[in-house]
Amino acid sequence: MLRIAAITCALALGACAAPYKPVAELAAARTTVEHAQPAAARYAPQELRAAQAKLERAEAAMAAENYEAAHRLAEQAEVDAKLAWSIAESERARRAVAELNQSIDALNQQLQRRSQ
Amino acid sequence: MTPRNFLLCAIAAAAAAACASTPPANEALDQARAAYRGAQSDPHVTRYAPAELDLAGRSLNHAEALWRNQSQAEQIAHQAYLAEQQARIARQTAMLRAAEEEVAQASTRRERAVLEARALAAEAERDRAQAERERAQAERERSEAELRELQAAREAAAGAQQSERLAAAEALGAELRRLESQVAELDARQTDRGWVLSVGNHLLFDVGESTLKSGGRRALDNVVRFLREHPERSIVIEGFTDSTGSSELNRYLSERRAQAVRNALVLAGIDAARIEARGLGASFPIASNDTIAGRQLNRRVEILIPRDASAATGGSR
Repeated sequence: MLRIAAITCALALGACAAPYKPVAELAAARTTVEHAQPAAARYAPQELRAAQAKLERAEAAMAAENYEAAHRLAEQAEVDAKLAWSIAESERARRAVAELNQSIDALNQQLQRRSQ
Repeated sequence: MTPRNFLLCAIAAAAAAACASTPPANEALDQARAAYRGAQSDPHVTRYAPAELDLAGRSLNHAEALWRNQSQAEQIAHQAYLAEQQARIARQTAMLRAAEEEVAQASTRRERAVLEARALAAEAERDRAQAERERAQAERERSEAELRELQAAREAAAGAQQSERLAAAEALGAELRRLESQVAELDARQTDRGWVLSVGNHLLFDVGESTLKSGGRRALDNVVRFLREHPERSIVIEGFTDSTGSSELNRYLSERRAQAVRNALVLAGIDAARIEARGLGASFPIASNDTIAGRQLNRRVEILIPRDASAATGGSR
């Protein structure tokens, strides 16, 4: 909510007043990409690459003082990284479920054999 | 203004009006709407990721507002992109939480299965232990019974041995008493060498003969009976003469006569090994050789029954 307000504010201000420098957004994007990296590299490599590419472009735009583009790219990089992370985590959880079910099956088979 | 110009003006106005009421379509926004609708209609998402869905909805509303206000297409597309990604995040989050819930449930199931397995194992162990206890109990009872049997057998054996010993002692006592009474019957006299039965030659032999006369055997009946009843005893037969005649002849004659008595006993069924016979001539007279009666007493055969059964033979004079 705050962020949306900030964005609107920034957009409103950006139109007329001095350009907004998205330092916080870029930092947030970087943190989120780093956070997603370990799990996503394995289970959501495509989404992770998209996030990383956007982060790079955001940093390049920031360096070129193209703050509007940097702002958007940072926001997109962050949301891409979040998606990569959630895909990776849900895949990991699915595998855990499968593994657990397998061990339960094995256990039940053992039980059946033993009780026979 | 020509009618043609007016027409052109009207078309332009209409176009402008149309523009004002419905903004041009935005592809990114269409995609965001579709993504949001998809997430919204997924019951998993409404259940497990309502907050994420809400965020996506608000981003979409924002994009819609920008679109209605005819903001820059680029701006609309950006906001729409954020909304679309958030809708996808909501779906992934829902899947993640559903899976996490399943993990929790599966863990519970697994725990239950493990407990069940453990209970089953414990039950099997209990059964095994019970069987083992019963087996051990049976074994103990068996060995106790064996021990009791053994003890009973040992006591019985001891009792039997005791009574056997008693019986043997009694038998020995009876034997001793019988022996004594029989020796008395033999009319034997006791000496330090044993019992000595002295039989006058006139009862056994004719004068000058060394073969037993017919009535002589009867004089030995008591001796034969005694030796039959006491097979463990041996005897020594000693022949004696009076002092008339040469000592060499006397010794020879006395030896012959002792041998004759021995032969008679062997003929009566006594083992020859139990009987020693020897002639001692005129030695060891028991009466004076100066009188007829004394000489008659000295002509005799002595049957010696050694007091000690084991030291039967080999005594010397």
